[in-house]
Amino acid sequence: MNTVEVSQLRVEYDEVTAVHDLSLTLEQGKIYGFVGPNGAGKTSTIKALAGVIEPTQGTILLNGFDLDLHREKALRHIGYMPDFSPVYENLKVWEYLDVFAAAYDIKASERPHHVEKWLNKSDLVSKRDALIKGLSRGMRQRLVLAKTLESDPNILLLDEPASGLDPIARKHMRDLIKEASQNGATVLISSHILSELSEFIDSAIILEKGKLVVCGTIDDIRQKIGGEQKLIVKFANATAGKEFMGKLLLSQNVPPNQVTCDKANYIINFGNDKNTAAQFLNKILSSGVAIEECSIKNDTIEDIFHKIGAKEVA
Amino acid sequence: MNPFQLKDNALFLSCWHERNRPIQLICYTIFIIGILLLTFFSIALFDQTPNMSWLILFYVLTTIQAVALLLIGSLFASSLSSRERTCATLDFHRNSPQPVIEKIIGLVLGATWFEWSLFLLLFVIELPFAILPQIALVDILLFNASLMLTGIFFQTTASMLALLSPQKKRGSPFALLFLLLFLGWPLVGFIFASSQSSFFAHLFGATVLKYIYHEPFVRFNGWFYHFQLPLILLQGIVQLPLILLMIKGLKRIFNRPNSPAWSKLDVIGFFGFIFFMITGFFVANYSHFNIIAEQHSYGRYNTLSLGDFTLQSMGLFIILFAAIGFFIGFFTVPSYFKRTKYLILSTKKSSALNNFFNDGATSLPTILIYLAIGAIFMLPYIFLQKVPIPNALAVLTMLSSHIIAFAGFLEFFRLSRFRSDKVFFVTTLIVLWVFVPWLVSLACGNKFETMVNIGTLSPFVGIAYIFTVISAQIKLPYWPLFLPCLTGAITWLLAWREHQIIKQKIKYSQQ
Repeated sequence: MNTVEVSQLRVEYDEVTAVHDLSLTLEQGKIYGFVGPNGAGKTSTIKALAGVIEPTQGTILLNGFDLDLHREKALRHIGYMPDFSPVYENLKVWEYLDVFAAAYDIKASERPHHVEKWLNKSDLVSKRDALIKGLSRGMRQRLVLAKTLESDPNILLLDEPASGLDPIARKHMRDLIKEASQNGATVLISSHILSELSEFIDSAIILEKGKLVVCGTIDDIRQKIGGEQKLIVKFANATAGKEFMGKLLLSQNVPPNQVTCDKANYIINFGNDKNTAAQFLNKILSSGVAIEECSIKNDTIEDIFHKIGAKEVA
Repeated sequence: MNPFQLKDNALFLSCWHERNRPIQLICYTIFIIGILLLTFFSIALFDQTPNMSWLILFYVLTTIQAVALLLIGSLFASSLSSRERTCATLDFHRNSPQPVIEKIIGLVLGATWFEWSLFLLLFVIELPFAILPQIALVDILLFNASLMLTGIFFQTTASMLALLSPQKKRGSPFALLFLLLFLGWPLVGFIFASSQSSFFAHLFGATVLKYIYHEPFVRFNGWFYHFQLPLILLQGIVQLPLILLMIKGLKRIFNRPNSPAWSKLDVIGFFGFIFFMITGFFVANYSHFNIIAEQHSYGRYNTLSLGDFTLQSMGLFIILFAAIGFFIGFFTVPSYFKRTKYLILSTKKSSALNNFFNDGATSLPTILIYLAIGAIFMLPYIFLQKVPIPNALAVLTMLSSHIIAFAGFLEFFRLSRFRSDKVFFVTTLIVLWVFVPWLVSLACGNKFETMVNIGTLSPFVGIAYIFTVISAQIKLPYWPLFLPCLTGAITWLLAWREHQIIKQKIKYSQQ
């Protein structure tokens, strides 16, 4: 089931077209990574989806409701976290969570329990009665994430949620997002920390200059953009390895520019050809030459992103 | 859901928590009790008449009520609304599912709950003062009702203006303007209360003075058109529509983040209402002129002739007509963004978008409707002042032309490629309105009349010229009055050209 449907979305700021006729469909329960360089239009898209800015044109359907026509219904189950932390400096941590629990119709009698639960989940129990102005940036991020998740939204729009978080807090954040996704929420998350995204997203949406470059699972994208597979071999004996590899590369007609060699370490780039890489690996393993390490490495989302910088895929 | 169920109202809670700190409450309470006790003992010590001491204490109580509700309450409404904007928490509330009316009540009442509590407490304390011979119970009730109305009006206005400001800074020019207005309130209230039109006196809540000070300087007669109404009702007629307008603006701020706070229809309705009220008070005062024949100023009574009164009132109306006209032009001319969006959507969606009052529609229909409304409400002045029809027509034409010319030039500027260079707009306007008429009139020779005639191209000279024509002090040719029509036509031609360019651009981009 599609929970977010965007068609022909255009966001303009006077002279600049931030998002150019973007069409997207996000499925329920999946985590989408929103990737693109600065100024690609990620934040503008997320803001338009969250109803914070009005797009110049286009239709946004959230849970089947048109954002233009049925704003309240469309935004009812949205959790939005911007790329900075909007907080009330003079409120205490529990009060902040209490305020937004009330905003999402959680009754006064249920709220104390609810607030305690989210204080626990966001690891802010020790700061319960602290004023927000005394919190660090990371803590504020955690607080805003807790606020975003506490209403149990089925669409989560997270703009750079990991910025300012330490590694433990990042892992904690990932766990919370995964949990939300497992409970059926559709998650759209933009981040610059690409390596982290690849660990838990189901699909990636890559934008550049306001236009959609590619969208799909990491494997799909790798296929589309001609992502590379690299075979990495480390021989136990450098001389024996060199002799064997020389013969093998020659017999398989592997061009020298696809091979990187450093003593006993060989990296062979097979481009998008999965079969040749597998055959090559079989031959090495059955040859009897002693090897210390052997692996096939696929392009990460970061590699794909760097490649897309110069290449557009239809 | 009950909008006054405040314990489940997020915006109310956010303000409640922020203001419900023991240290703040204790200081506030010490401050108020201190004022009350010290005033009472000071009076009791020096004044031997017990009634007078109690009377002064009553006045102190009412003053505290007014200051708390109108000044401190408005300041908090402005400050906490401004906080929503600067902290960007407003965006969270924008997309929360609470009904917008709850959000507005929560914001305004949450920011001012302490002042309202204090107001109600002091109201209860004031009731026993009705046993004093100088104070009637009904006056206490009316005073409190009047203060409540003004409090709601001031606080919603303060909240509205604080949210309206585009600046990221907490203190906004709008809020400052409001503060200035408020600080000048006693002065403004006094001036308008003692002037012929009680509209502004009711607007600024000077009606309250009538109930506790039975002084002649508060000159209300309760007449409006041909009806005599209770003052509290008249105050309600003035303030309630404006409170509703503010609430409408707040609703749009929550629901339509990139749109102006008021639609073009709201703006026309608002100024139409202002004209209706001002003219209503003028007609009433004209019809019952014997009541206000003596103008009170600086403790003296000056006699004012009916002719002078009519001319003064008409002068005020014309200045308002012109000023509001320029403001409406400024407010209703679409930005490049709004215009483009409107054109793109109107090609894709239904024709429902193609109405005159859309934010992206051209401002001309709105301005023409405003001018028509203004002209209708100007008729009583023209009729009662017995202005000759050709003079009246010429005056209306000139006023309208200046407003149309300004809007046309602004529309051209906002849609043209110069739109980001505001200095271009200001410079061109000064050249058109000051330098060109000045130069042309100089070139026409050393004749004062010619200079004035050509000077009508500029509203600065034009408005002054209008007064001369209306009062028919000297016989002047009519043709200079039509000069601004020429500039109006030119500016709208330029604006029309820009509209065509944008249409072409959109057509090209859609192909």
